[in-house]
Amino acid sequence: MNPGPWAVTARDSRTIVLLLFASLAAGLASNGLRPHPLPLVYVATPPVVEGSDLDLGHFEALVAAGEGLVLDARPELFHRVGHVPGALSLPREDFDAAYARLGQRLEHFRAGPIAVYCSDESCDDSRFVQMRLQRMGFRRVVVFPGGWDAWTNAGLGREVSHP
Amino acid sequence: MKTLLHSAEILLRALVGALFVYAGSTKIADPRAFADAIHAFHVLPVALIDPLAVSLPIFEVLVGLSIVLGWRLRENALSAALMTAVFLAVLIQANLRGLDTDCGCFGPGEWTALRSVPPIVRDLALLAGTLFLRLCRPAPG
Repeated sequence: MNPGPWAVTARDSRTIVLLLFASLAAGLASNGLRPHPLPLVYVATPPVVEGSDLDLGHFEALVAAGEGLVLDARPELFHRVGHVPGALSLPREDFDAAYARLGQRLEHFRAGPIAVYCSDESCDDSRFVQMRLQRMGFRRVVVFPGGWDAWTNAGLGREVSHP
Repeated sequence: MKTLLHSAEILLRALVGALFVYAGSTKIADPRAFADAIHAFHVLPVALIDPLAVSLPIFEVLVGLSIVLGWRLRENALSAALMTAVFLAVLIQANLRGLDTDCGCFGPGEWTALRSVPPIVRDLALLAGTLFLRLCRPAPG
């Protein structure tokens, strides 16, 4: 005997709802275990486009997403005293030695995105580092022109290097 | 005739199921890219994008595996057909609105062979396959 349409619909719904809930639970749990989990509410990934600069909002989103590389082009001492969380030091004045030190950590981001900053709007260390990296074949290297000043003025978190 | 139908079912189960497993796993590997792809279609409120981006790929993998294994085939084929119909509707509305967006169907590193087929054609073929799988077995009594 064929089952009625309601019995079929009930069986369909049970299976689909069961798998949907299992997927939602597994999805949320596995997201929580990721090193850089997605936030509960979507934040657009900053558009890191060749030749463009990042404003504070986009730079902050890139730092929060943790999927790009953030470079501090100021002298290394400044980086040690305080820097954007996760930023690595690649000072303009000591570019070659610092580049060699960073090695694989930089190579991993050859296709970008890489955001470079220095002190404030008036410094050009970040532009210099951007240009050097671009000449070495790195792609999607952008500058956050506001720099350390804009970051700290906005009251955003800082990280200190431990010797 | 019965043998032919059975062979077609097994072949389609392997094809359709594997495609769903592949589609899901590429998105599991890069949930942020999938969230960006969903966002680009402008069809969902922002609050739903990330929960969907982390759970839908797992649902795709579970449905795909169930289809390959033949577990609750009718129900899982229906899930697959409904998902495909929704993807198709989203793609068509994006085309009609002139949105220039990547399909996002198979994650960022999509197979070249899959890329050569227009997404709408691909989804229509997939929809036909899932409906066949839904109907090839009688409803359990």
